[in-house]
Amino acid sequence: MKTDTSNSPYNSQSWLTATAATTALLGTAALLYRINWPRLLFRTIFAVLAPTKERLWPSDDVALISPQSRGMAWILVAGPPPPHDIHLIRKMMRHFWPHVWPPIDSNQIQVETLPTPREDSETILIWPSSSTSTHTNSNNHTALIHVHGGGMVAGTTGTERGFAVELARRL
Amino acid sequence: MDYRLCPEYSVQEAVQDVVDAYQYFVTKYPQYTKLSFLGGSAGAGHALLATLQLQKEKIQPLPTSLVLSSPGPGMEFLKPIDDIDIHNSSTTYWKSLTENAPVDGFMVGGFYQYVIGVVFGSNQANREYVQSQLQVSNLEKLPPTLVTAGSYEVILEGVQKLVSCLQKANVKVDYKEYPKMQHCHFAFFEWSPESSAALDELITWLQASWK
Repeated sequence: MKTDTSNSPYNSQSWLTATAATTALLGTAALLYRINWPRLLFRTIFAVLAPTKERLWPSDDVALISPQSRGMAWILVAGPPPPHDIHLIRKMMRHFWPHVWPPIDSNQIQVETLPTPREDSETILIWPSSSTSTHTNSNNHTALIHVHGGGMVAGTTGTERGFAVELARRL
Repeated sequence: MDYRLCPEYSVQEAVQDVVDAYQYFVTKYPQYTKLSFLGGSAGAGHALLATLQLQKEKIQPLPTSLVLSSPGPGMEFLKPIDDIDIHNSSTTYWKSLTENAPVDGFMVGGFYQYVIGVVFGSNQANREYVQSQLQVSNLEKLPPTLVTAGSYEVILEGVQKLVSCLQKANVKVDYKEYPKMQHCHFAFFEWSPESSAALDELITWLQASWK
Protein backbone atom coordinates (compact mmCIF):
# COMPACT_ATOMS: atom_id res chain seq x y z
CA MET A 1 0.00 0.00 0.00
CA LYS A 2 1.32 3.45 -0.91
CA THR A 3 1.37 6.04 1.89
CA ASP A 4 0.41 9.65 1.14
CA THR A 5 3.07 11.92 2.67
CA SER A 6 2.25 15.12 0.79
CA ASN A 7 0.89 16.83 3.90
CA SER A 8 3.55 15.50 6.18
CA PRO A 9 6.05 17.94 7.64
CA TYR A 10 8.64 15.30 6.92
CA ASN A 11 8.25 15.51 3.17
CA SER A 12 11.86 16.44 2.51
CA GLN A 13 11.40 17.48 -1.10
CA SER A 14 8.72 20.08 -0.43
CA TRP A 15 10.65 21.40 2.55
CA LEU A 16 13.75 21.76 0.44
CA THR A 17 11.87 23.56 -2.30
CA ALA A 18 10.19 25.91 0.16
CA THR A 19 13.46 26.65 1.94
CA ALA A 20 15.31 27.30 -1.31
CA ALA A 21 12.55 29.57 -2.60
CA THR A 22 12.40 31.53 0.64
CA THR A 23 16.17 31.89 0.77
CA ALA A 24 16.30 33.09 -2.83
CA LEU A 25 13.51 35.57 -2.19
CA LEU A 26 15.06 36.95 0.98
CA GLY A 27 18.52 37.04 -0.62
CA THR A 28 17.27 39.01 -3.62
CA ALA A 29 15.35 41.38 -1.37
CA ALA A 30 18.43 41.89 0.81
CA LEU A 31 20.57 42.54 -2.23
CA LEU A 32 18.14 45.04 -3.71
CA TYR A 33 17.78 46.72 -0.35
CA ARG A 34 21.53 46.95 0.18
CA ILE A 35 22.53 48.36 -3.17
CA ASN A 36 21.90 52.02 -3.70
CA TRP A 37 21.20 51.83 -7.40
CA PRO A 38 21.24 55.55 -8.29
CA ARG A 39 24.55 55.95 -6.48
CA LEU A 40 25.95 52.86 -8.13
CA LEU A 41 24.94 54.19 -11.54
CA PHE A 42 26.42 57.62 -10.82
CA ARG A 43 29.64 56.15 -9.58
CA THR A 44 29.95 53.75 -12.48
CA ILE A 45 29.64 56.64 -14.90
CA PHE A 46 32.11 58.59 -12.82
CA ALA A 47 34.59 55.71 -12.76
CA VAL A 48 34.60 55.74 -16.55
CA LEU A 49 34.88 59.50 -16.88
CA ALA A 50 37.19 60.31 -14.00
CA PRO A 51 40.45 59.44 -15.75
CA THR A 52 40.01 62.47 -17.93
CA LYS A 53 40.55 64.46 -14.74
CA GLU A 54 38.34 67.15 -16.15
CA ARG A 55 35.81 69.09 -14.21
CA LEU A 56 32.53 67.27 -14.46
CA TRP A 57 30.43 69.44 -12.27
CA PRO A 58 29.51 73.10 -11.93
CA SER A 59 31.98 74.99 -9.76
CA ASP A 60 29.57 75.17 -6.84
CA ASP A 61 29.98 71.50 -6.21
CA VAL A 62 33.54 71.16 -7.34
CA ALA A 63 34.85 70.65 -3.85
CA LEU A 64 32.88 67.48 -3.67
CA ILE A 65 33.51 66.16 -7.09
CA SER A 66 36.92 67.19 -8.31
CA PRO A 67 38.96 65.30 -5.70
CA GLN A 68 37.64 62.05 -7.01
CA SER A 69 39.97 59.84 -8.94
CA ARG A 70 39.49 56.73 -10.93
CA GLY A 71 40.87 54.75 -8.02
CA MET A 72 38.50 56.26 -5.53
CA ALA A 73 35.55 55.96 -7.87
CA TRP A 74 36.42 52.34 -8.50
CA ILE A 75 36.47 51.63 -4.79
CA LEU A 76 33.15 53.33 -4.34
CA VAL A 77 31.63 51.43 -7.23
CA ALA A 78 32.96 48.22 -5.82
CA GLY A 79 31.70 49.28 -2.43
CA PRO A 80 30.48 50.93 -0.41
CA PRO A 81 33.57 49.84 1.47
CA PRO A 82 32.67 46.58 3.10
CA PRO A 83 32.99 47.52 6.72
CA HIS A 84 32.90 43.92 7.82
CA ASP A 85 36.05 43.11 5.90
CA ILE A 86 39.04 44.97 7.23
CA HIS A 87 41.44 42.91 5.19
CA LEU A 88 39.76 43.82 1.94
CA ILE A 89 39.81 47.50 2.89
CA ARG A 90 43.51 47.25 3.72
CA LYS A 91 44.22 45.44 0.48
CA MET A 92 42.53 48.17 -1.50
CA MET A 93 44.34 50.88 0.42
CA ARG A 94 47.77 49.32 0.11
CA HIS A 95 47.69 47.85 -3.34
CA PHE A 96 45.26 49.78 -5.43
CA TRP A 97 45.34 53.38 -4.34
CA PRO A 98 49.08 53.88 -4.76
CA HIS A 99 48.61 53.40 -8.47
CA VAL A 100 46.59 56.57 -8.75
CA TRP A 101 49.59 58.59 -7.63
CA PRO A 102 52.35 59.65 -9.93
CA PRO A 103 55.52 57.58 -9.62
CA ILE A 104 58.34 58.93 -7.50
CA ASP A 105 60.84 60.85 -9.60
CA SER A 106 64.20 59.70 -8.33
CA ASN A 107 65.82 62.84 -9.74
CA GLN A 108 63.81 64.89 -7.27
CA ILE A 109 63.26 62.55 -4.38
CA GLN A 110 65.16 59.74 -2.72
CA VAL A 111 63.57 57.34 -0.35
CA GLU A 112 65.06 55.62 2.66
CA THR A 113 63.11 52.87 4.39
CA LEU A 114 63.04 53.20 8.12
CA PRO A 115 64.52 50.00 9.56
CA THR A 116 62.02 49.57 12.34
CA PRO A 117 60.61 46.07 12.74
CA ARG A 118 57.07 46.69 11.70
CA GLU A 119 55.06 44.09 9.91
CA ASP A 120 54.46 45.06 6.30
CA SER A 121 55.99 48.42 7.08
CA GLU A 122 56.23 51.20 4.58
CA THR A 123 57.65 53.78 6.94
CA ILE A 124 60.05 55.81 4.87
CA LEU A 125 62.25 58.84 4.97
CA ILE A 126 62.00 61.07 1.95
CA TRP A 127 64.97 63.21 1.05
CA PRO A 128 65.18 65.82 -1.66
CA SER A 129 67.87 64.40 -3.94
CA SER A 130 69.94 67.57 -3.92
CA SER A 131 70.42 67.39 -0.18
CA THR A 132 70.77 63.65 0.22
CA SER A 133 74.53 63.71 0.18
CA THR A 134 74.82 66.68 2.48
CA HIS A 135 71.97 66.30 4.91
CA THR A 136 74.20 64.87 7.58
CA ASN A 137 76.73 67.67 7.34
CA SER A 138 74.87 70.73 8.50
CA ASN A 139 72.94 71.79 11.55
CA ASN A 140 69.52 73.14 12.30
CA HIS A 141 67.75 71.22 9.59
CA THR A 142 64.02 70.93 9.48
CA ALA A 143 62.07 67.73 9.10
CA LEU A 144 58.40 67.02 8.61
CA ILE A 145 57.04 63.77 9.97
CA HIS A 146 53.90 62.70 8.21
CA VAL A 147 51.66 60.18 9.94
CA HIS A 148 49.22 58.52 7.60
CA GLY A 149 45.52 58.15 8.29
CA GLY A 150 43.09 55.35 7.68
CA GLY A 151 40.82 55.44 10.70
CA MET A 152 43.37 53.47 12.77
CA VAL A 153 42.23 50.32 10.99
CA ALA A 154 42.80 50.68 7.25
CA GLY A 155 46.46 51.58 6.90
CA THR A 156 46.84 54.13 4.17
CA THR A 157 50.61 54.34 4.02
CA GLY A 158 50.73 53.40 0.38
CA THR A 159 47.86 55.70 -0.43
CA GLU A 160 49.46 58.67 1.23
CA ARG A 161 52.95 58.07 -0.08
CA GLY A 162 52.20 60.33 -3.00
CA PHE A 163 50.95 63.00 -0.63
CA ALA A 164 54.14 62.77 1.43
CA VAL A 165 56.24 63.01 -1.71
CA GLU A 166 54.30 66.07 -2.81
CA LEU A 167 54.84 67.67 0.59
CA ALA A 168 58.57 67.02 0.31
CA ARG A 169 58.58 68.47 -3.18
CA ARG A 170 56.79 71.68 -2.17
CA LEU A 171 58.85 72.16 0.98
CA MET B 1 55.17 56.87 8.95
CA ASP B 2 53.58 53.52 9.47
CA TYR B 3 52.15 51.96 12.60
CA ARG B 4 50.34 48.86 13.74
CA LEU B 5 46.61 48.79 13.19
CA CYS B 6 43.49 48.12 15.20
CA PRO B 7 41.82 45.86 16.07
CA GLU B 8 44.76 43.43 16.12
CA TYR B 9 46.81 45.97 18.07
CA SER B 10 45.85 48.67 20.52
CA VAL B 11 45.83 52.41 19.94
CA GLN B 12 48.60 52.69 22.51
CA GLU B 13 50.80 50.28 20.53
CA ALA B 14 50.17 52.25 17.35
CA VAL B 15 51.12 55.49 19.07
CA GLN B 16 54.22 53.80 20.49
CA ASP B 17 55.27 52.93 16.93
CA VAL B 18 55.09 56.60 16.00
CA VAL B 19 57.12 57.51 19.10
CA ASP B 20 59.71 54.81 18.32
CA ALA B 21 60.09 55.98 14.73
CA TYR B 22 60.46 59.57 15.92
CA GLN B 23 63.11 58.52 18.41
CA TYR B 24 64.93 56.56 15.73
CA PHE B 25 64.98 59.60 13.50
CA VAL B 26 66.18 62.12 16.09
CA THR B 27 68.87 59.70 17.26
CA LYS B 28 70.16 58.94 13.79
CA TYR B 29 69.90 62.50 12.51
CA PRO B 30 70.55 64.79 15.51
CA GLN B 31 71.23 67.76 13.25
CA TYR B 32 67.49 67.96 12.56
CA THR B 33 66.42 70.20 15.40
CA LYS B 34 63.21 71.60 14.02
CA LEU B 35 60.73 68.81 13.58
CA SER B 36 57.04 68.94 12.94
CA PHE B 37 54.37 66.31 12.99
CA LEU B 38 51.78 66.40 10.24
CA GLY B 39 48.93 63.95 10.28
CA GLY B 40 45.68 63.49 8.48
CA SER B 41 42.59 61.87 9.95
CA ALA B 42 43.70 59.05 12.27
CA GLY B 43 47.27 60.14 11.53
CA ALA B 44 46.47 63.51 13.09
CA GLY B 45 45.14 61.76 16.17
CA HIS B 46 48.27 59.63 16.39
CA ALA B 47 50.51 62.67 15.85
CA LEU B 48 48.73 64.42 18.72
CA LEU B 49 48.92 61.40 21.03
CA ALA B 50 52.56 60.74 20.09
CA THR B 51 53.51 64.33 20.89
CA LEU B 52 51.88 64.00 24.31
CA GLN B 53 53.79 60.74 24.82
CA LEU B 54 57.09 62.37 23.78
CA GLN B 55 56.47 65.15 26.29
CA LYS B 56 55.68 62.62 28.97
CA GLU B 57 58.88 60.68 28.27
CA LYS B 58 60.85 63.94 27.98
CA ILE B 59 62.31 62.95 24.63
CA GLN B 60 64.33 65.72 22.99
CA PRO B 61 64.01 67.54 20.74
CA LEU B 62 60.26 67.79 20.96
CA PRO B 63 58.30 68.72 17.85
CA THR B 64 58.37 72.45 17.20
CA SER B 65 54.92 72.47 15.65
CA LEU B 66 51.95 70.26 14.86
CA VAL B 67 49.65 70.16 11.86
CA LEU B 68 46.48 68.22 12.50
CA SER B 69 44.36 67.80 9.41
CA SER B 70 40.86 66.45 10.04
CA PRO B 71 41.87 64.80 13.33
CA GLY B 72 39.84 61.78 14.35
CA PRO B 73 38.65 59.31 15.43
CA GLY B 74 39.17 59.82 19.13
CA MET B 75 38.01 63.40 19.61
CA GLU B 76 34.95 61.87 21.25
CA PHE B 77 37.10 61.36 24.30
CA LEU B 78 38.42 64.86 24.76
CA LYS B 79 37.78 66.00 28.29
CA PRO B 80 35.50 67.48 29.33
CA ILE B 81 33.67 64.83 27.37
CA ASP B 82 30.16 65.07 26.11
CA ASP B 83 27.61 62.56 27.19
CA ILE B 84 28.39 60.25 24.32
CA ASP B 85 27.16 56.74 23.88
CA ILE B 86 29.48 55.23 21.31
CA HIS B 87 27.64 51.93 21.57
CA ASN B 88 24.67 53.57 19.98
CA SER B 89 24.92 52.37 16.41
CA SER B 90 23.20 55.46 15.09
CA THR B 91 26.18 57.45 16.39
CA THR B 92 24.50 60.81 16.23
CA TYR B 93 26.32 62.53 19.05
CA TRP B 94 27.58 65.15 16.64
CA LYS B 95 25.14 66.77 14.27
CA SER B 96 27.80 66.79 11.57
CA LEU B 97 27.83 62.99 11.57
CA THR B 98 24.39 62.97 10.05
CA GLU B 99 24.12 66.40 8.45
CA ASN B 100 27.38 66.09 6.53
CA ALA B 101 27.04 62.41 5.68
CA PRO B 102 25.57 63.11 2.23
CA VAL B 103 28.26 65.64 1.34
CA ASP B 104 31.44 64.13 2.77
CA GLY B 105 32.57 62.32 -0.33
CA PHE B 106 35.47 60.63 1.45
CA MET B 107 33.96 59.29 4.65
CA VAL B 108 31.36 57.18 2.90
CA GLY B 109 29.14 54.30 3.79
CA GLY B 110 29.12 54.94 7.53
CA PHE B 111 32.84 54.18 7.59
CA TYR B 112 33.47 56.51 10.51
CA GLN B 113 30.84 54.85 12.69
CA TYR B 114 32.31 51.51 11.71
CA VAL B 115 35.78 52.63 12.77
CA ILE B 116 34.51 53.92 16.10
CA GLY B 117 32.89 50.55 16.70
CA VAL B 118 36.02 48.58 15.78
CA VAL B 119 38.51 50.73 17.67
CA PHE B 120 36.57 51.83 20.72
CA GLY B 121 33.21 50.10 20.80
CA SER B 122 34.33 46.84 22.32
CA ASN B 123 37.76 47.85 23.51
CA GLN B 124 37.75 49.50 26.87
CA ALA B 125 41.56 49.73 26.99
CA ASN B 126 41.58 51.89 23.85
CA ARG B 127 38.89 54.15 25.27
CA GLU B 128 40.65 54.54 28.59
CA TYR B 129 43.99 55.23 26.96
CA VAL B 130 42.69 57.97 24.69
CA GLN B 131 40.55 59.46 27.46
CA SER B 132 43.52 59.58 29.81
CA GLN B 133 45.67 61.34 27.22
CA LEU B 134 43.21 63.84 25.80
CA GLN B 135 42.65 66.02 28.81
CA VAL B 136 42.99 69.76 28.70
CA SER B 137 45.62 69.62 31.43
CA ASN B 138 47.78 67.36 29.21
CA LEU B 139 47.42 69.62 26.19
CA GLU B 140 48.92 72.69 27.84
CA LYS B 141 52.50 72.13 26.71
CA LEU B 142 51.77 71.36 23.09
CA PRO B 143 53.74 73.34 20.51
CA PRO B 144 52.06 75.79 18.10
CA THR B 145 49.40 73.85 16.28
CA LEU B 146 47.52 74.23 13.03
CA VAL B 147 44.20 72.41 12.89
CA THR B 148 42.34 72.12 9.59
CA ALA B 149 39.00 70.73 8.54
CA GLY B 150 36.55 70.84 5.68
CA SER B 151 33.12 72.23 6.38
CA TYR B 152 31.57 69.15 4.74
CA GLU B 153 33.25 66.70 7.10
CA VAL B 154 31.25 64.24 9.12
CA ILE B 155 33.62 64.77 12.05
CA LEU B 156 33.58 68.56 11.80
CA GLU B 157 32.22 69.01 15.32
CA GLY B 158 34.91 66.74 16.75
CA VAL B 159 37.59 68.88 15.11
CA GLN B 160 35.97 72.07 16.43
CA LYS B 161 35.87 70.53 19.88
CA LEU B 162 39.60 69.83 19.73
CA VAL B 163 40.26 73.44 18.75
CA SER B 164 38.21 74.70 21.65
CA CYS B 165 40.08 72.39 24.06
CA LEU B 166 43.44 73.54 22.67
CA GLN B 167 42.39 77.16 23.15
CA LYS B 168 41.28 76.38 26.68
CA ALA B 169 44.71 74.86 27.31
CA ASN B 170 46.34 78.09 26.04
CA VAL B 171 48.01 76.35 23.11
CA LYS B 172 48.93 78.66 20.26
CA VAL B 173 46.43 77.22 17.81
CA ASP B 174 45.40 78.30 14.35
CA TYR B 175 42.23 76.83 12.90
CA LYS B 176 41.42 76.79 9.24
CA GLU B 177 38.05 75.51 8.06
CA TYR B 178 37.82 75.10 4.31
CA PRO B 179 34.33 75.66 2.92
CA LYS B 180 32.68 72.80 1.09
CA MET B 181 35.64 70.50 1.46
CA GLN B 182 35.53 66.92 2.60
CA HIS B 183 37.54 64.85 5.03
CA CYS B 184 41.31 65.00 4.49
CA HIS B 185 40.90 67.03 1.35
CA PHE B 186 44.62 67.93 1.27
CA ALA B 187 45.35 64.45 0.01
CA PHE B 188 43.48 65.24 -3.20
CA PHE B 189 45.75 68.06 -4.25
CA GLU B 190 46.26 66.53 -7.67
CA TRP B 191 42.62 66.73 -8.64
CA SER B 192 41.33 69.62 -6.62
CA PRO B 193 42.75 73.12 -7.13
CA GLU B 194 41.20 74.08 -3.78
CA SER B 195 43.15 71.33 -2.05
CA SER B 196 46.33 72.23 -3.85
CA ALA B 197 46.01 75.87 -2.76
CA ALA B 198 45.24 74.76 0.79
CA LEU B 199 48.36 72.61 0.76
CA ASP B 200 50.41 75.67 -0.12
CA GLU B 201 48.87 77.52 2.83
CA LEU B 202 49.72 74.62 5.08
CA ILE B 203 53.33 74.65 3.94
CA THR B 204 53.58 78.40 4.45
CA TRP B 205 52.34 77.93 8.01
CA LEU B 206 54.86 75.14 8.59
CA GLN B 207 57.76 77.14 7.27
CA ALA B 208 56.79 80.09 9.47
CA SER B 209 56.73 77.76 12.48
CA TRP B 210 60.33 76.78 11.77
CA LYS B 211 61.64 80.34 11.81
